[in-house]
Amino acid sequence: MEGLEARVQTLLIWSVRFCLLCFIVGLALRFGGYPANWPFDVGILVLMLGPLGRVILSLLAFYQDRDWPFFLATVGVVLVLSMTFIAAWSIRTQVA
Amino acid sequence: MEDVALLIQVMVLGSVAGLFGSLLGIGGGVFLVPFFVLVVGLPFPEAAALGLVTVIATSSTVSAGNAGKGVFNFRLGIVLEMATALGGLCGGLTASLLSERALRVIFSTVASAIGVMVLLRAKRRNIITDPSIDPGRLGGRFLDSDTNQMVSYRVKRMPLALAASFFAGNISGLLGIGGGIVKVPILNACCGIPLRVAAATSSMMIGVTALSTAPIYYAKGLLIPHLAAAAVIGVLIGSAAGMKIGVRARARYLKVMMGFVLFVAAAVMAWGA
Repeated sequence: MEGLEARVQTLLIWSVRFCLLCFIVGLALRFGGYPANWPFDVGILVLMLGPLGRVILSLLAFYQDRDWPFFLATVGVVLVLSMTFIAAWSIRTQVA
Repeated sequence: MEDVALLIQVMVLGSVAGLFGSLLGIGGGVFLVPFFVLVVGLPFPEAAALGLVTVIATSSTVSAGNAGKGVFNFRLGIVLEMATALGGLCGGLTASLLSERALRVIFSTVASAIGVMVLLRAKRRNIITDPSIDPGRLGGRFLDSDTNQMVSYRVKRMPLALAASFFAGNISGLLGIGGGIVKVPILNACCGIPLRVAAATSSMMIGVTALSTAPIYYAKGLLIPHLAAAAVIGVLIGSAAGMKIGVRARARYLKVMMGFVLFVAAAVMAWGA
């Protein structure tokens, strides 16, 4: 598990910073009279990828440590999140 | 101008949510969702979608800020995350069996009971001052800021922790909250986990809890982008302030604050029911 906290910290800091930048751009365009949804969409997507990335980093750390019970628990979490993203993608396709 | 005023209100409330989120390991959705429904007049699903996005923002900010302080428990977090994710998956089943009103009443009752328990045990601490003791597979060690020494803790009543996490996941997607308001007090009051560890581990978990439902709301087009942006910006400001305060705050005061927040959350949810 060595280094995991530092890697998670870097990932989350950058996902939050990038999301913040996108939101500020989106709000500036909106109030500047050029409303656009793409900066908000990109920001929300990057924000959502932060916790997902954290789970994947944990998965890799448990694998490196050969810590199989916790590796399997993390695989379970990844599977549930994958199902959510697949369901969301399917709904998005139907809506479009 | 009305739009600007609304965005400022959302940012201010987001800051409050971020402040409590960073201090207590809760996402703040429990305050934001009723605000969006009762004050802004949004339908519940749109409010829940906004609540979930702010929970992810709180989780990422607080987790990044707490990293390196040794208060995370990754092993405990991942085991409880599995129960939470399963609870979230079963949320669809619960939604078809219970009305939103019934869920709110259940939440208010449970939150009030946990609030009483937290206040009754406010003086009790879950730390073992001997750092050489074996904390077990799920326990750990950290530098306690109250005593300024390394302390240990062991996890007790794991089935109860799993049940609380399952319940938190179950109500999360339906009410638009992260579930930290259920997990943190139970982990602290019943499962032997110090409040700082419970709050830090919960702040990490609530991001995944919210992520197990938020993409569905987003895909359905229920997320209002500019309000989400304002709320997230507010959350980031509040979280930064909360982390500075949290370093100096004593565990006992945080517990009293948690009890108070539970009563407020129970009242807010009951009011909207």
